[in-house]
Amino acid sequence: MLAWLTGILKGAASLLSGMRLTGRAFVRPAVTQQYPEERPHIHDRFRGRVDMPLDPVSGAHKCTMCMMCVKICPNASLIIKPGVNRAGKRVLDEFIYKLSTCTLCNLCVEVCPFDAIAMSHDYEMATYDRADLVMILNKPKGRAFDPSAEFLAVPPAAAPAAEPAQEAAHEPA
Amino acid sequence: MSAILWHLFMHPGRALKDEIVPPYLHFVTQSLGLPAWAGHLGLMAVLGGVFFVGVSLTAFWLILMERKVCAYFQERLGPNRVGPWGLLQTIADALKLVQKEDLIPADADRAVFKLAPIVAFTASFMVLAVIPFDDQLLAADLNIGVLYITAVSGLGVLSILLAGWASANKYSLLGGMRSAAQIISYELSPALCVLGVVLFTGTLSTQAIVEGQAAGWNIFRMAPWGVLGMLIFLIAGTAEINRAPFDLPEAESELTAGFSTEYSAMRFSMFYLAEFVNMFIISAMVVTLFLGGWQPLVLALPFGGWHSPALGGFLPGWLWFFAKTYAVIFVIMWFRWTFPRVRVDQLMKLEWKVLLPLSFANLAAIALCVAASLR
Repeated sequence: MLAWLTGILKGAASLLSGMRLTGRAFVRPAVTQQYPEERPHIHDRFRGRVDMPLDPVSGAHKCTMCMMCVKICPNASLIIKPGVNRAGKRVLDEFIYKLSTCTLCNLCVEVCPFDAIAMSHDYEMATYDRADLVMILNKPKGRAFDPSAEFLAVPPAAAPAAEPAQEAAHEPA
Repeated sequence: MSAILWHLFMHPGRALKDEIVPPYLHFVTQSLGLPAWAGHLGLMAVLGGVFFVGVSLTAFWLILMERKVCAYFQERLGPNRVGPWGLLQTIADALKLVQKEDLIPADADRAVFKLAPIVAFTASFMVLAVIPFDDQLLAADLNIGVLYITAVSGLGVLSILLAGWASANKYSLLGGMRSAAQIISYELSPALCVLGVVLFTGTLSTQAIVEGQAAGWNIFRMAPWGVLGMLIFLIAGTAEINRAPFDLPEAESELTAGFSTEYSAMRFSMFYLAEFVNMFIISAMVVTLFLGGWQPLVLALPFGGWHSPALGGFLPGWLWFFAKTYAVIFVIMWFRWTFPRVRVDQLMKLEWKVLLPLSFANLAAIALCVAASLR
């Protein structure tokens, strides 16, 4: 009889503690982000797709066609097509980037001696057509949707953790 | 005119009964040259229509509330895209259900299959007739109102059995049989709790039970037995309307959707509607029997003696009724989103070994207290 009563009381207490737990969750604010309206917070060193930032002063890219990025790319996502300008000098014609095979590993950005390419903060990379995943980075159409500085990755100086890796990448070259 | 509107706001039942309905009814029957009984028949039809619309709106609102409450318990936001704050979400769902194909399985017992959702809805619809929403505001003040509720709500299990049998589906049949076992067990302890209240108030009429609580709600006046009775009634009521944690008849992980597996479109929505109306009814019963119905808050000492003046008597009674009812509904939803589903043996153990002895003891204690206070 006594065991029966204590069993009931203990059960009731455990039920109440469960209800207290969910009750606390009820009054806590929701963790949901209203995605299309509320933009997620993108961290500075977030690795979105590769982008080719332009110098804000001259408006020109910094690529010298050294081919380091093309060589280090583990899945051949980068293709550099050289061209010749009117003065007969060898210049960059097309910097082709295949997002469909890219793993966003950051190796090309780390190996680039001139910081000509960077990981952007672009995370909305879905397309209706697979052909749209092949981009020409040095043409306006191929850039991340907003080429302003906000979407560019931090320069290596602001990212001390990335420094040693970059040094190591430079040494064998 | 504004006086009548104010009266209608504060005491809708009395205003309708004394000032609005009789003269208009008389005027209409007179001008159409109809006998008086035709007017009353028309009034009943209109009342039925009003109740039907009210029930549908309540169910729509409860479905939205359930989804919102569930979301907040899970730290989500819930439906918020259709209309402001997602208010029109249920309307959109209902429109989708209306457009769906009405399927009847080839082996089904067609007549019974079609009858089951109608019985389910009718059973929950009929109970509302004796729920006192406000002073005078109830469809029928039966002098055996409580007995009527117990009897009519028992029809709900019939609909589930019919649906389970007629679907020609093993999941449906299992769900139906489980439900029968569950509801037959769980009819006992609520009935005993109701009996305690009847013993205390000395009437079976729901309206008289509420009027008797003008000198303090029953949970105060019957304390501590009223509190125990209310808890038992609430738990057993949750089981009777097949809600989690007692949702074995439609346990989706075991029986797909139980008795409603084969139902689609409007027939399914009838079951769905009945389920939510039943939740409203159980909450309204708890409020009527134990929490003072439409009476404002009156604190009282157990079994006579001191009671406080009515707190918040300036608010209309129906507002009190609905506020209390929705508070109880929230608690039932709280149960659902906190507790995992019980097993069948645990379900039976809870009723026969815990709730039933407790409610017998409760009834005996109330009887002793009433006998002592009578002397």
